[in-house]
Amino acid sequence: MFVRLEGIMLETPPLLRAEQVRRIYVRDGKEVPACEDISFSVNKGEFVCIVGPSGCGKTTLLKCICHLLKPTAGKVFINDREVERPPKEMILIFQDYSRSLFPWRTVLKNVLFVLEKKNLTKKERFNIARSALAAVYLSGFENHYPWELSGGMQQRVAIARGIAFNPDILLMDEPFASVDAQTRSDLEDAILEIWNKFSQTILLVTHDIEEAIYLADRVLVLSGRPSEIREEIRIDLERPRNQLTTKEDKRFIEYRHHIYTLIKEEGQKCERADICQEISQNP
Amino acid sequence: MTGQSIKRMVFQTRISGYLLLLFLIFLWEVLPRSGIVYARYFPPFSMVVGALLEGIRSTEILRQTAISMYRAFCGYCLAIIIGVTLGTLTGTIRWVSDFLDITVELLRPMPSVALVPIAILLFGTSNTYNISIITFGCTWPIFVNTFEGTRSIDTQWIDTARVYGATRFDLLRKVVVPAALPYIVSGLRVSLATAIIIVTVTEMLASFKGLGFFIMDTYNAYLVPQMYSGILTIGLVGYGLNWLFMTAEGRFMAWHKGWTAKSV
Repeated sequence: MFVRLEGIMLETPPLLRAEQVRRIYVRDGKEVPACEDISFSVNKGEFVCIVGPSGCGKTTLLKCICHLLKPTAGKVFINDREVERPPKEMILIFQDYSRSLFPWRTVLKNVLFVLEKKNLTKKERFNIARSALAAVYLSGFENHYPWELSGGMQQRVAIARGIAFNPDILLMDEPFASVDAQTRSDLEDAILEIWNKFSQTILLVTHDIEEAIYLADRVLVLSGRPSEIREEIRIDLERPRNQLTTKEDKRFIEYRHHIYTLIKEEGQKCERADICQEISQNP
Repeated sequence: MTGQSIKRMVFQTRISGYLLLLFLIFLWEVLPRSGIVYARYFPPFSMVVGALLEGIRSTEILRQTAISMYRAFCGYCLAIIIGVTLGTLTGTIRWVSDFLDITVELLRPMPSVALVPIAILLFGTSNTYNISIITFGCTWPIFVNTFEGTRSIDTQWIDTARVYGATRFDLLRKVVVPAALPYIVSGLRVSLATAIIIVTVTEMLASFKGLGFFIMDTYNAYLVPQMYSGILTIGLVGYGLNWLFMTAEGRFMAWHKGWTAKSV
């Protein structure tokens, strides 16, 4: 696993670096800033969560980072290379699995989709796809269609697709927001397991404070719109984490208290949250 | 067997459908024979079937059917190529849709058989005449459905594919077309019926071959049972083609049926 030594961290450049990223929407001739001058970096092997009030432009920020949306200003670097189009080192997993899995493809073929561009033999493709599905405990569901599965299983297909592609970093946009609470904690543990097993680097956006603390090495707290990084908090909780003991830890509760207070303040600033929400859905 | 169970057997299975058909054929046989309708203009079913069998034996009906099918098939295929290509381009590229919109909206409502005189002037009574009108008439349903289908694609499918490095061509081939396929297929189904209609009408108006011609020719020669046998053949061919279509759709579009049933 990643070694957290200050000396080494200084020498190795960060895997992902965002510099002064800004995105402005034009709506009825008026400029509406979604995120403003956001700078941060993610090191290799790190699990970073971005948490912020609803409608503060989190989805916009992630889309700008992987260049599905062009930032109005600012730069994103991956492995010290400037990103200009969706880079192959980065994969974005969406919140709404039902709209990102292809209903005309079976589970296995959904995973194979991402391998079709890679220079692999047919057998290698199948092996990778099958082991990715096995990693999310979906062996035996290869020939089902995604819509035949439960919500949590569908999101695991989306995650399997992400890890099959073998990116340097996984970006996740509220990946567990559309499932029930029980499934949600199962998926949180599943993603931690995958992060550990594949030495992945993950940048996950969520509005759920507990989820952010539970998962992350570091939490970036966004301000209300236009969003900026309000505070960066290093989470010193032992791994592997446990849904019961970690969340009962005194430090966990302190982190939660602190971040909750920050977000509460910011949420009040975001007076136009409903309008902002609408914009982020229909840019 | 009780009355209740007979009722259930008849109305809760497909038997009732066949019974209706048998009843109509029975009327067709009995009404002319009993003199209620004029048998000369409305010959009984058995006579029409006799004429049909005779037509099959002499290969007359078969040859006429083959010619009509050939024309319908050519026109239909051309319409698929044109309709799907134009529909996809229009649905995915903004300037193409701006460019074509007005012209398409002017041409689309035009009844294709109104073009018969123009096509005859241009192509005479060759196969090209029938095929050009079939193509014209069949293109629109396919075009409109393909356009709607490609335009209404969820942007998140596109975003997902782009994240995984899909090129524009990949997007078209692996996302846009499969996602629009259910729409395209419903356009194809409408056009199939249209093709049968237009081939018959164009042959009735100006052709010396084909089932439409056969119907008009026997009509003019006062061979009434033969005329009916031609009409019956077109009906059967239409039914057969539709059955083939539905079977193929059930086979290849099974995902769509399941998916929509799930998301409603």
